[in-house]
Amino acid sequence: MTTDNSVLQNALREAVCTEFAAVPTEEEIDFSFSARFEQRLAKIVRMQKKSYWKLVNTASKRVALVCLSVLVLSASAMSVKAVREPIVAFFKEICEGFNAYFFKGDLTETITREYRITRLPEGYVQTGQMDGASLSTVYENGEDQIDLMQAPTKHMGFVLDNEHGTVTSLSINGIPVDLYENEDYKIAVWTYDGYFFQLTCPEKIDTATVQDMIASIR
Amino acid sequence: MLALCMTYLDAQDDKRRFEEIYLAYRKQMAALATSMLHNAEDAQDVVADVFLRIAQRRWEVVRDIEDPTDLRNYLLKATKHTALNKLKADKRARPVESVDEIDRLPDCSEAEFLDAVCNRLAYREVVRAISSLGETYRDALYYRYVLELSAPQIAEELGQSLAATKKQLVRGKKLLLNLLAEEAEHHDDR
Repeated sequence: MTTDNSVLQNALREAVCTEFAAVPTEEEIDFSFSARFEQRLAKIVRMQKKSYWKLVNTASKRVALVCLSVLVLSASAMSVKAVREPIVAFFKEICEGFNAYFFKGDLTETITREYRITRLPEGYVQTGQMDGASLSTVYENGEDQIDLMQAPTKHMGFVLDNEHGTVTSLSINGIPVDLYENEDYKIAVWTYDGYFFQLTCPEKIDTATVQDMIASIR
Repeated sequence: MLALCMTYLDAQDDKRRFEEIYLAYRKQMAALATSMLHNAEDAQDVVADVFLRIAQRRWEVVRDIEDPTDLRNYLLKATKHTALNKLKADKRARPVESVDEIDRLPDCSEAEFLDAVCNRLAYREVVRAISSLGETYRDALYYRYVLELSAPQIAEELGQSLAATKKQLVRGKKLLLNLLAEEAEHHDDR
């Protein structure tokens, strides 16, 4: 026999409401939010309105979010023509548990050039690719998986989980790269050619190999 | 892995709903945070943190809360927890009850628990017992039985480990049953 738990639900609801009974209604409160607050929240609402992001705690998804650095491209960086490279910068909000990052600069809306890893760790081969607003390329060795995600920077926001891992700032061919590590994964993030890149690898792949993969992306 | 993940969101309804919630509750949240922090700027930071966290991590939970009372309770609880954290106070507001004493209380099945709470006493007595529970346990039970969150989701809401959350749920149920037994005794005495 199952018991209808509505008594418990209603009683809990009533007890918790009592806790906040002294908080006036929205109309009764004369509270002026500062310009800084309005600006910050407007940004969040705008992001949500555009809905180019949705963040969930899903273990099955290997695309972890991380942070990003200012990118000023040099002609030697990677193998892209040094004509007029898009320059993308970020600014960030530091919050409890995570940092949120937003982009500024020559933001891209679509992917017009696709990038791949050209030097993979031994045994890995490309096994899949998913197109959408972003491009995700998957490499596997029969046991583990490496993902390279390339995304346009317009309408994009990123967060850095600053509670459950460590972040190290690196420079690879002059490009600032942030490397997030936790007990399961290494995740490198950077911008290049106006795009956001995220490389997700098993933790067991060493940092030098991660750097070599990033340097090989063409 | 507890890393944040990102995908794209397309539903127009979600976009509107987020803005509606923001506009409908932000002042109440700011008022609550101000009353705790005594600083309007810190209070605004708390409100911003709560909304940013919802946008990024909690949207699927918040979106599914249909009852306006539950939505208000959820947002004010989130504000309270964030403000307490900002104060670096003991945000888990340890209950006065001894944990050892609670652990010594008899175990009960879910069916026994619901039967004892829902079928044996008058509603007012149940509310009174719940109101006298420590806030830690009341919060855990509220998230579990009213908002119907899973233990991992509750752990995240409360910013604590899954193991601690599971213990709180077990202890909260035991303690509530004990309080209800006391209510029943008072009732019989009367």
